[in-house]
Amino acid sequence: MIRLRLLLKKAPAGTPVACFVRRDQKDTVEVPFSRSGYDVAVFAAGTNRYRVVLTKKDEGAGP
Amino acid sequence: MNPHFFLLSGPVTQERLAWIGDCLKFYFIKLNPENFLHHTKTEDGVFTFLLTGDALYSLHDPATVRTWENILSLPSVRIICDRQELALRGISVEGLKRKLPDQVIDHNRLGINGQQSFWNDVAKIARQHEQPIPSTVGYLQMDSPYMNRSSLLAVKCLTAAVEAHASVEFYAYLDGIHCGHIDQAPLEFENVGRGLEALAEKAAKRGLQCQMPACTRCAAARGYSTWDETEGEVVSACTIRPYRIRNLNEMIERFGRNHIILGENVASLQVKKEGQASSFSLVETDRAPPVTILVTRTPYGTELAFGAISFAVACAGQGILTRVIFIEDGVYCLTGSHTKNGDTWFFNVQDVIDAVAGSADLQFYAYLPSLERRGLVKNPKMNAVLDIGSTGFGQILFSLSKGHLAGHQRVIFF
Repeated sequence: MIRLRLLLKKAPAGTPVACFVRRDQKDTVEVPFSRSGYDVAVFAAGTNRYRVVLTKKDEGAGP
Repeated sequence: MNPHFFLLSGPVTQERLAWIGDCLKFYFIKLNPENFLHHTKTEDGVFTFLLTGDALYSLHDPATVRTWENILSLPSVRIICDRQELALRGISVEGLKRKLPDQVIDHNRLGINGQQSFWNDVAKIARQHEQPIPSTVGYLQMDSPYMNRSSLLAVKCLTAAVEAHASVEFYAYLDGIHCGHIDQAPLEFENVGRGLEALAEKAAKRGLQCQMPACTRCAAARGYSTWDETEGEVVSACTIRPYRIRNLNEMIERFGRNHIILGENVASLQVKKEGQASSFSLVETDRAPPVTILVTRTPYGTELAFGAISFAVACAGQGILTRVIFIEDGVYCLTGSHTKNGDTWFFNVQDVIDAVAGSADLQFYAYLPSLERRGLVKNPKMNAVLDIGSTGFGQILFSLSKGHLAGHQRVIFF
C-alpha cells in the first residue's frame, strides 16, 4: 500500500498506475484508494491474481 | 468506572512523564475545571496508571518521583503497581505510599485461582468499559520473546482476561511475530509460545473466542510465510496452531470494534459524550475508537517508526480516525532532509510521510516541546505534519470532533 502511494505520488497527473496484486491485497487497495480520490479498476488476471489500475481523479472537474 | 487509564511497561523517562502531566493538566484545567477546583474524589480515580515492568523504575528514580508527585497532586489520579515486578526488581514504593496512601496501590487483586496478580487489576479495568457480554480484550504485541519481557506480560495479561471471562485477541505485529514460532524451548524463561497455546486452550474450554492474527508483511519479512495458491491464504509451517497470518487490514478490522486493546505501552481515554446511547453495535466506523499513534523512537534504528506509519495508514484505510504524533525521539523522523542513494527500491521515512499525507482520516503532528528539548527544527518541506504544543496534544487526546461517537480513544506508543 505504501509503495503504491509512493509510485502514485511520483506519477504525472492523470497517468494511470497499474500493478498486479493477490486477492488478500486487492481489498486493501480497492477500498482505501477509492475513498481517497482515485478511480480504481480491478481485472482478474488468474487464480488469486488481479491487475489493478489507479488514476487520480481530476479535482477540478465538475459533477 | 475508570474513564481513563495508561498501561506502561517500558521505561518511563522524565520527558514522557512531563508530557503526560501536561496533558492531564489540560484535561483538568481546560476541560474539567470543576473537578480541579473541588477535587472531586471517586473511588477508582479518574486516571489510573497501571505500571509494570521497567516502568516501575520511574517510582524509584528521584527525578521521575518528583514528577509523579506533581501528577498525583491532580484530582483523582492513582497508580496501581505490579507487586511481583516490583519485588523482582527490588523496588520499594513505601516512601511514595506514605505520602499518598490512597493513590499508590501496590497490592493486587485476587484471581479465581486465589493468587494475587496485577493482571487481574488490568483485566477488571479492561472489562469495565461499556461492551456486550462476554467482552473482548485485545493485546498488540510488537516485541520478540525472551529478548523482551513484554511478550511474557502479554501472555499473563490475556490469561487474566480469559479468567475474567473475556474473549481475547493477540495481534502479532513487527517482531511480535516471533512470539508464535513453533518449538520454542527456553531453558531459563517461561515459554511464550506454549503460553499462547495454553491461552487458546483455556479460552476454548470456557467457550470464549481466542484469535491470534499475525501481520502478513511482518511475517514474510521474517521468513514465516508461504503463499497457498489454491486456498488464497498465507500459510506457515513454523507457527503455533492458533496463529493466523493475515493481511494487516484484517487485524485492523478488529480495531474498528470498541473493545479495549492493550499493549506494552498504551492508553485508553474515555471520550463518551453527554446523552450518548449506552449501548451500540460492535462495528460502525463513526463509532470505531480513534487511534492516536505516538512515534517515540528514531526513524532507522528499529522498524518501529516505519511500522507505526504503516499501521496508521492501515487504520485510516479502514475509516478509523488516526492521528500520528512524532514525539520524544520520534521527532528525528522530521528533522533534516533524509535521502537515499539513487534509484533504490527502498524509501526513507520522510518520503513515506509525504506520500501518505492527505489520506482521508489520517493526520500527522510534530510535538514542538520534543523538538525544542533537542534543539531541533522540523524540515520545512514536511508541511503535511502540523506543529502542536501541549494544548493541541491535550485536545487530540480528550476532545473529539463533532460527528464522532466513539466511547474511547486508543493511544499506542511505538
